[in-house]
Amino acid sequence: MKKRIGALILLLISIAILLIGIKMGQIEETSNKGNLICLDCIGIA
Amino acid sequence: MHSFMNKFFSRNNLPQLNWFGRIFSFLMINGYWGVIKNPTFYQGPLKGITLPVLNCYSCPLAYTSCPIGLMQHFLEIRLIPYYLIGVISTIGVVFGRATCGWICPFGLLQDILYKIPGRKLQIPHKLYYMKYLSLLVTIVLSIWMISPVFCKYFCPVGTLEAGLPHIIWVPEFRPLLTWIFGIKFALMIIFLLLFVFTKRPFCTTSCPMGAILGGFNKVSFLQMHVSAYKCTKCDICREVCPMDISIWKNPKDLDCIRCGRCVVGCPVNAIEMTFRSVKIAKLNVNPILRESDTQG
Repeated sequence: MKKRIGALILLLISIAILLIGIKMGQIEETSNKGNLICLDCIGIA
Repeated sequence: MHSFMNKFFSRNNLPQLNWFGRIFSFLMINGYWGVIKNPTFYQGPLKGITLPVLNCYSCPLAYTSCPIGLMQHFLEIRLIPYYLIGVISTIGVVFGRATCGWICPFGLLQDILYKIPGRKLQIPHKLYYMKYLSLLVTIVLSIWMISPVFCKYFCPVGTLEAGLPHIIWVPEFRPLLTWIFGIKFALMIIFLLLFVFTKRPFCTTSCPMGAILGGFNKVSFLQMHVSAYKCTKCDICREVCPMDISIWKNPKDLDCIRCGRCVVGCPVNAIEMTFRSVKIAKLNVNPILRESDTQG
């Protein structure tokens, strides 16, 4: 029971962190980064 | 609902479900087939999504962003990646490291290549700790060098999924190749060869994503359970395990990817996968008990 409550608390904290990230516009930042070709990944940079 | 889940996730269905899940997710994550007409890569709002699997966001087919590439980007621009931490921890708390076993395209490739018949080798388990070093080095060097060092110097996923296709399809890139590509290409070939002879060598020794997700196996809702009463310690679970671990020794093993092959492979049905109170991959045949178990 203790472990279940612990996991639930962790889940709530995780969701809260996720929402903070979304509110800070980090999805757009992720999208902007992902939409640029990564020359490092290719081995050019 | 419980009976539906028990039927759906019965141990007989599990291998098919696992293969279907991985192929389906591979096609979902890497589904931009428009690239055949126009040799570029997907650019759009879906790149804002990141999943806890290693899949290069510069892969011409990729719809989603790579979490390790993203982590390095946020470290470079000196921002705490709340979104990334939130995604990884939310999925990790619920499923543990199951995304490695059910979604990761690179894991799928390793499992397919391991099916090639031939002599198989075992990776010493001490090398499994290298992935934590890989994660630590990635974080420290990304901050220090302000560069995505994992993608730049090491990642065989990036070389295979992004480097090679772009070089083949975009001739303008070819004269720009540096010695770094040579190193990455050699590493990729070494890994591809290792995939044939050893079980998931990249996941066990090098994957920083696996190193992060493994910690959630201790607390996740999705858990493995081994019945001490039924288990004969025959270690067949290790033989069938793609990560080469003995789940009976530690059901919360950091390297367990919750693929369920041990559930199916256990000859005495001692292993179960449970979602906290709800049993999934439940036994649907009578367990074969040892004589010693039935006596006294």
